[in-house]
Amino acid sequence: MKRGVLMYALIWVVLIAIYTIGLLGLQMSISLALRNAIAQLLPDALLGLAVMRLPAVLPWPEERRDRFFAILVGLLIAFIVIAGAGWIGLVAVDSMIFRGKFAVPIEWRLLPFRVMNDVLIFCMLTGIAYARETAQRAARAETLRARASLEALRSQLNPHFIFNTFHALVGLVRRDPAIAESGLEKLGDLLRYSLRVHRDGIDEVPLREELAFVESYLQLEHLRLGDRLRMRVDAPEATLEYLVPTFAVQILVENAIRHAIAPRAAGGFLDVRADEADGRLRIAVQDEGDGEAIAERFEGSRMGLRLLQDRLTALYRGGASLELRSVERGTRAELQLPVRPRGEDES
Amino acid sequence: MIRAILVDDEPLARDVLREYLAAAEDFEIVAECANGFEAVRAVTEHDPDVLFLDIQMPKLDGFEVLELLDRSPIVVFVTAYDDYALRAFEVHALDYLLKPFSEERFRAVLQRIKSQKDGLKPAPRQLASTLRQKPLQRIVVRSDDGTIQVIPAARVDYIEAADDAVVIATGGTKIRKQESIGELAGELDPDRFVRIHRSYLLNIDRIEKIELYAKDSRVAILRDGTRLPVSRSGYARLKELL
Repeated sequence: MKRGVLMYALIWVVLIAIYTIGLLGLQMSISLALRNAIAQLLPDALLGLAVMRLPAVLPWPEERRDRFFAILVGLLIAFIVIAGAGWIGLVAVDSMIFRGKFAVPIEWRLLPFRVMNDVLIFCMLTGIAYARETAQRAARAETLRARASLEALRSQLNPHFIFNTFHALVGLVRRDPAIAESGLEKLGDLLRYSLRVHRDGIDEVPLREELAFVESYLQLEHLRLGDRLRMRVDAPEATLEYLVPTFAVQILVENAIRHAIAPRAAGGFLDVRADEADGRLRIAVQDEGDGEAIAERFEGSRMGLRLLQDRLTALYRGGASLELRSVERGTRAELQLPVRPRGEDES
Repeated sequence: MIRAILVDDEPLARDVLREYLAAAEDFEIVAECANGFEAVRAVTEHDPDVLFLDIQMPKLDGFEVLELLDRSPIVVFVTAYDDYALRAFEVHALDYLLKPFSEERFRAVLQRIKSQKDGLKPAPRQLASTLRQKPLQRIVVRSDDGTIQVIPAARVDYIEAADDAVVIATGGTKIRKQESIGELAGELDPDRFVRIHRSYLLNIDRIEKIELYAKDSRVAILRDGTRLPVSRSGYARLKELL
């Protein structure tokens, strides 16, 4: 807002300067030219501030444009009269200060040019004001749309996973009640996290919370896959308070398990790592599977990776990236986010 | 004894089925399979009476397994969560178990199996093609020597009719499948595969250009240089899509 006013003032200063130079061309002294320019343009500049607020008072009409334009013409006339009065007043004040007597030394034959100037200035200002309003409204709508689609994308716990885990736990109830109990506890944690994200409309959580969620998730997957799933999660203490999109790490982990580890009889190794470099948080999920074609990975889990990419765009614009690439003996998914600690004002 | 095969990619889920079946009389497990490929082989080898078949499995899902079988055991579908599948089961009055299920629910299904064991069973291939979600994302083929191939629909260049079967051209190799070209045309994505000729179904992504060959007859030239005839009605369909 402040920047807007400064910008506005700067434009008028430039206009006054141009006007002054024009008057210098008419053989006026610098002082006289400058005072004349100020007297001519200052009232327009001040009134212009009110014109810039017009869209808030008089919204662009969806229908009955004739009435709207009639009001604008009325306002234009008022603008010309008030600005003209201001101009005459300033000229009188100028005369009192610099000549010591009350007079209005105005060349009346120049009046039509002044009126034309006012019309141009008024039209330009209303044009800018309404254009700016439209752009702002479009941006707001875009944000709202992004928000709305985020709503739908936030809760990402795969129902297959939930029901299959329940089923595995049913099987363990008699054979190994202790493991069944701890499994149910973990599943409860996952559902609670998922519900909280959904209910409170949370888009980002500290990495610590996301990783705790991922650990529970991995332990349940480990229950189902047995020794086929070997894993390591490693994140330095310093990165744990940085915000990450909810489910971001989980989606990458789930994708790696589904495509690289679960299909293989021998399973595979899953490495989850976070680090910080150059003001960016980097989270890498690397699997050691049979390196299924990357294109197929994207194809096969459209619902997961695509949605994550959409969310990154909605949350960070161009500030985040997700990259999948083949590495020796597997695939590496790397997520890069701008570093933002918890508690920093988001707006 | 009723001979059963269990198919599930998760060991714990197989444990559940095995334990419940062990407690039931008259049932005997002849094989356990961890994926669709093993399942097709095991059914061919053991010819079981009943197949407990998980649906969501990587690489080859339950419906695809069914499509590749020539003999038909009684099939009990086991699934965690799949609206589409559930509707299909209801429509075709098929037995299914929703995970998680208790031993009690499982026993009720076993009772039904016993009562229908000697009844009529639908041919598995027909059943599979009705159950599979359309459009097909991949085509499964079992050759005479028993090897199974899974061809992603996007990798298919074109399909050529050959008597009562089809030949699927994909990346230079040709694979024969026992299915009519009309049937396959109805199952694949109509926005991608066009019947350009009575005997040809073409993946439109592969088209390089269409040339006029003679009056009213055209030829499609594919990226790899293959030339396929385009009939008049085929050209009309193609034009509509492009």
